[in-house]
Amino acid sequence: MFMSIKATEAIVLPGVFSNKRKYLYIIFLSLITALIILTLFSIGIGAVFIPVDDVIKIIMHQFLSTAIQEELIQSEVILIAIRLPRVLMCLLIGATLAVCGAVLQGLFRNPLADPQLIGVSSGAALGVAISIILGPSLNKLLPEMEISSILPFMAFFGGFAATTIVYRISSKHGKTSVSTMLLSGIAINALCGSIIGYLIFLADDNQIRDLTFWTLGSLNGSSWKSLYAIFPFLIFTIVVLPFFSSKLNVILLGEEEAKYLGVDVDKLKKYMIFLASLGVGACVAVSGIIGFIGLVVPHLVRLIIGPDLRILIPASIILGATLLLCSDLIARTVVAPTELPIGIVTSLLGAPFFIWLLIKNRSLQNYL
Amino acid sequence: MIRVEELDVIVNKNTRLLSNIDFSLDYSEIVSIVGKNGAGKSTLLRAICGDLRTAKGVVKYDNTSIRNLDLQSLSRIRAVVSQSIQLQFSFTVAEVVAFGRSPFNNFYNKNSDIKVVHECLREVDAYNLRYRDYTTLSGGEKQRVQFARALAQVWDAIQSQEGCYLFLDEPLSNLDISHQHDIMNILSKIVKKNVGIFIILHDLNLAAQYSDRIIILKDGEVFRSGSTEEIFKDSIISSAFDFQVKILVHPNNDCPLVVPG
Repeated sequence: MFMSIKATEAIVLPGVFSNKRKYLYIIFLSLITALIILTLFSIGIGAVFIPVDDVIKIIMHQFLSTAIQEELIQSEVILIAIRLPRVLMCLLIGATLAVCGAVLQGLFRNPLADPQLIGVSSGAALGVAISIILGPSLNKLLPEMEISSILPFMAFFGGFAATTIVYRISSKHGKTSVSTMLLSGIAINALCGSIIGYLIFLADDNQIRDLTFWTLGSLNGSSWKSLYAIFPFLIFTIVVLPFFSSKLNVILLGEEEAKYLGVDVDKLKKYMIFLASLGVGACVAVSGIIGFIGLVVPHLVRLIIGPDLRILIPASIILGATLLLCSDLIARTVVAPTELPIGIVTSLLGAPFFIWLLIKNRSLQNYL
Repeated sequence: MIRVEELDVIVNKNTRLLSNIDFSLDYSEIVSIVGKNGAGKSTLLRAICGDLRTAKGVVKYDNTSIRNLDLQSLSRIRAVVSQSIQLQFSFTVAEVVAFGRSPFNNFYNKNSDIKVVHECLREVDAYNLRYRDYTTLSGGEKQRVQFARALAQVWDAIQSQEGCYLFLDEPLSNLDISHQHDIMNILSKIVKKNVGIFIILHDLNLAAQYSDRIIILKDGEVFRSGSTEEIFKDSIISSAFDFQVKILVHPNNDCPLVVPG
């Protein structure tokens, strides 16, 4: 009993009060350092290995026009055309998924909430299933249309539509019921799942394989073109969401209390759900379904620096980017020259960690 | 002054929770609301605080209808302690009280806010708990911390005596006898600083000892209202609660004492 209270104090000490600031600086500094080092390494690692100092030279050459040796020209082409867009994509998607997870956990006052709960992922999966499986027959009507080019839009549209339906079901007179929202999320997920199941029943083997790979998530197709396409959505989500963290904090006390403290809860809910589905929808559209980042990252951060969303959200952004970069590095190196779908890696790392977390919390509660 | 005129609250189309309530709460007075379970006490509190849609009637804060006040300006003149607050995440006690300062800061707690937090915690005898995880507190400790949070919210108005309101929904239900009287004494102290206090109580003896005015609700209507002397009569209390009671007199301070009888 005594031990557990001491342990809790050590965890919750960091926060807004002045005696915790030093601790926070150290945490943030180490998170950022880890992210930068990992990014430089990650750019260098691949079929052609580029040492970190060369990576720095090439980046300096590109952006600051400094001099560069002849023999690095080939590495530069690989780095700029292939590695850099992929790494940037990883950073942005990881950050977006983590920030959306943190915000939804705050909004639903539930540490188990994640972007999949509000139907984004299954709606997007349905969009993709439709374009992969019904695409060929649509192609006969519109011969010039290419499936690969409409796929991201279908995913985005599907995710957004599913979230809108979930939100509509759970709102009445401008008020949104959290429990109805979670339940309708389950219903929409099941509905999308069954339609996808039916489409799979209609599909041929190649289509099933395409769909399965998409569902497992991959950053293989990252290019500057796809990066530019989703960049505005992701950066908007990442930059705007932290500004709401102080109000979201108050919601943790309960919606009624938040209203008494001057927070327009219903408006805030609308904004948050819109932004989260925008961000996650864009991610899912280019990378497929990448699980567990949105769930595990905020959990991990909460464990280190406490539940204050003003700190938790920015820290989740950094850690989310780092973890997805790590997973991508694993995904493209362990079975080189081919690569694993990244969703497999995040789930393989995330699920055991999450189980450990659940077991640990269970025993803590028993003590108190 | 808060004025409530001919207030009706109806939910689910035909369930009438409150009907025809006339009520006022002035600065510098403690008004206690008592009544049986389900009499509509908490509903009245929520309606006055602007959390419930009213079917009929008006709620006015200093002659301005509550519909014309936005949440932000309301939050600076009144604080509310609800019956049950479920906080899932492990905030420290100081952080929970600091939520009370959120109407006054956009993002960060200023040093002045932290000072207020510490003063409010001292006021409710919870300063030593300030680094504890809120979720590990006992029910009574949680209630004192929530009271401190509400105090922090209207602290500026209390100090400057500009006028503000405190709404408390059974704030003493989990407290031991000494902390119950502590909180009531704090209320008696701050009420003099131009604060109007609306408090829902189940302990009739506490209501009798500390209130300026008492309102008894029964079946969603005002059954009786008046001063302690007017309200505390055997017949009135017995019929308000449908339970036979006897009113005695406290040997030391002449306050009414309600006992079963």
